[in-house]
Amino acid sequence: MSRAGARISPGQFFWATAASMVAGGVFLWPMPLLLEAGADWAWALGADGVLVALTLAAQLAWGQRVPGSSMFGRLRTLWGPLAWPWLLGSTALSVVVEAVVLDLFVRMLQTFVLPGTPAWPLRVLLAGLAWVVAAQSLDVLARSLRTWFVVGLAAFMLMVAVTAAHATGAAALHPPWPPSGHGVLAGVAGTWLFWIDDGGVAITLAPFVRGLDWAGARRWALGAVALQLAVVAIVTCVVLTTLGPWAGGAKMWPMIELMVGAGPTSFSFVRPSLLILPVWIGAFVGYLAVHAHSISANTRAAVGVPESARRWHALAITSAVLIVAWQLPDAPTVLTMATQDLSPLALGLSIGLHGLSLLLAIVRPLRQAQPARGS
Amino acid sequence: MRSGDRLRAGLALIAVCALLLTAGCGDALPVEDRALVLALGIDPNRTSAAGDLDWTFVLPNATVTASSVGRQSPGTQVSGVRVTAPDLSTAMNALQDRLARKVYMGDLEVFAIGLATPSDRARAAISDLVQFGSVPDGYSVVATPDPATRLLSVVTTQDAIPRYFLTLYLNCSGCHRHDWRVRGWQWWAAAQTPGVVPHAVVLRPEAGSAVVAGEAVYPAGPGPALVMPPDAQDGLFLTMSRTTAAVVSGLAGRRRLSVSRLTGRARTTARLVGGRLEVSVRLHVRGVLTSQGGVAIPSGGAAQAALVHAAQVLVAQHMLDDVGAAFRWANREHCDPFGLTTQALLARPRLAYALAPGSSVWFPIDVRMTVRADVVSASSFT
Repeated sequence: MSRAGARISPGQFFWATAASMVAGGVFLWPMPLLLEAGADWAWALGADGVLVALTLAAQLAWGQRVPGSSMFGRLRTLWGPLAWPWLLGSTALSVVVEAVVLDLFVRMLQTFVLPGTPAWPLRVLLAGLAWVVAAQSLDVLARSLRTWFVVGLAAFMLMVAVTAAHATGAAALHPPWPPSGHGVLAGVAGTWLFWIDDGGVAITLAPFVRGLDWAGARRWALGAVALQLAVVAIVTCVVLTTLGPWAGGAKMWPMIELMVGAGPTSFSFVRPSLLILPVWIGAFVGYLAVHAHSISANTRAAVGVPESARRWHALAITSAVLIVAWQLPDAPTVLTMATQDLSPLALGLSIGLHGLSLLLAIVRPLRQAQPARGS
Repeated sequence: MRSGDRLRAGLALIAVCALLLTAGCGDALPVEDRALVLALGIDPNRTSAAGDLDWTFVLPNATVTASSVGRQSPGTQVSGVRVTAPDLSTAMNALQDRLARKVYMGDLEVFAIGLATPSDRARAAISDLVQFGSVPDGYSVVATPDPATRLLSVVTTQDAIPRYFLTLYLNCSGCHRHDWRVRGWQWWAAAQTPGVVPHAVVLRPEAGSAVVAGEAVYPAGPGPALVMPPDAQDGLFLTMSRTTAAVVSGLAGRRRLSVSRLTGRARTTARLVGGRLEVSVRLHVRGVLTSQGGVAIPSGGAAQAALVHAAQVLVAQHMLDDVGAAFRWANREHCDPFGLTTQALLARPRLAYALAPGSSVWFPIDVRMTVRADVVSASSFT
């Protein structure tokens, strides 16, 4: 049964927005941040939080001002035919970013858990799982995300706390003063794609929140940013106080190495730290699914097909993610490409799309009103 | 079919596929066909002109089963295979050449470094192991007088395979006077960090067991490890807040007092001033007065208070001597196993982050120590 008029609760909107940020690449933190921002990592992380919050606020502010049934509908009202390049650009970037994160996640699984298993079944299963979840109606998707994300987050923070027992001191958390503009900018540009990949999740889901206006949705979305900022800050602090900045920056996935290395290691024990894998798989599938669902809502609106085509659009998007992931080179090259090229592009697109749309949404009614006043 | 039913059907289908495809069947092998490496040791090869190392791999005997453990002598529960190779990958290849079972390093529990091993080779070996990927870095790192095989082959009658003596010894929390255990990732992180040098407890095999014989410290460079004497080693572990069950015994006037169950916490600050490292160590130790030379400890009153005070002075003096010995040793050897140089460097993040991983930084240390000893009388509990 298709439920075109499905509504979600404010709490489900909060968890869905949270799942659309950070969750896909949480296993990589804080490596890209340390690599790009160096000593200025703390300032860059703070700037990340502020900028992500501003972008989401801008996204919901122009969404509120412009009528339409989806992000694409609103873009068309605002930009006219120019809505198409925005949609194609943001969709293509979203697909590539998700493919990069999928590829890195699969390589991490191969390194730590399934060294003898080829990458393709892992990729296909993760993308397939994401498709099954993304193809559901919004209320079913949001309910699944809320349930699994809360459980996963709690388990993850428990594992982080166990690892934190090995912290040797807070000296590594000392931020430099004054912050270096170059370091902060490099940090923000290099980590942006782990925050927002511009499938427009918040603006797409906000109109479906039960009994909530846009200002309420903005508060919940900013709460989701605060939650994910706290998660990333805790992970970064644990890695820095245990491994230190030099060793922490040298590892591709420092958090999982710490979790595996910090637990009891004896032939007689099953490593409890490996429990983190189902948690991360859940978070990853949720991330992929919420993006695929949101993009499919916009592509459906663009080609004018009904709600019932949802599963086929979600299938097309997850398949595209899978095909792009198949073409990617080795993990270090992919990571360099992600932080050096894709992430600054995503930052530019986020600011361009939502900043300019907000500006246009504010200016256009005035422009229309001016001749009326003059006549 | 309702939406929820479709979700459940889809998930069930994927779960079945996942079971078939991702259960690790790609490289599955029965345990008796795997050569599980429990411990690994390195020593310099005396006859190699190229500076190769001797690599000793300790493997459990695959024929030992739960029912046959009782009939096995300890010496037959594990076997050691020694190969000569320049690095880990070559050594593993050489090991595999000699075995009919597939080598598996994922259960490595102990890495032992022979004391004559050049420091840079020990650093390279652990770095290789950390880069290896599928070896979890939670194994313990220890040092031992050469050859490492002697320590690695210690198997007692109480510890039947798969329980391995050295693992149990190092994992035994709160058993020894200090928490000796240094994990592979901690050792490697210290080797990567400017301003600190990695270290490992020296275990000497003796009468079918192991005895602590100082602390081996590994500065960057081709020289062998430096060995801290026991009093400096005690001072190092006190400064790192890793004293868990120490004992101090000594004369207070004419009485011999013993204070046991000593635990220590240290708060340290370090700052760079004019090319020197100014360090402040504030120690807080707690213990129980358990003996005054065979005479009963009074169970209250002024006599007990005087005795406890004398014990506190004894403990405080002992701890100050140990910590002082550790810092004197560090100044003499020009290395900082405490990590205080790193602590001071990180207060200036721009300077610190500009240093390359693994670079060597050292400053002369001026230390100021204060100690607070809380001792209670065992007679208070009886």
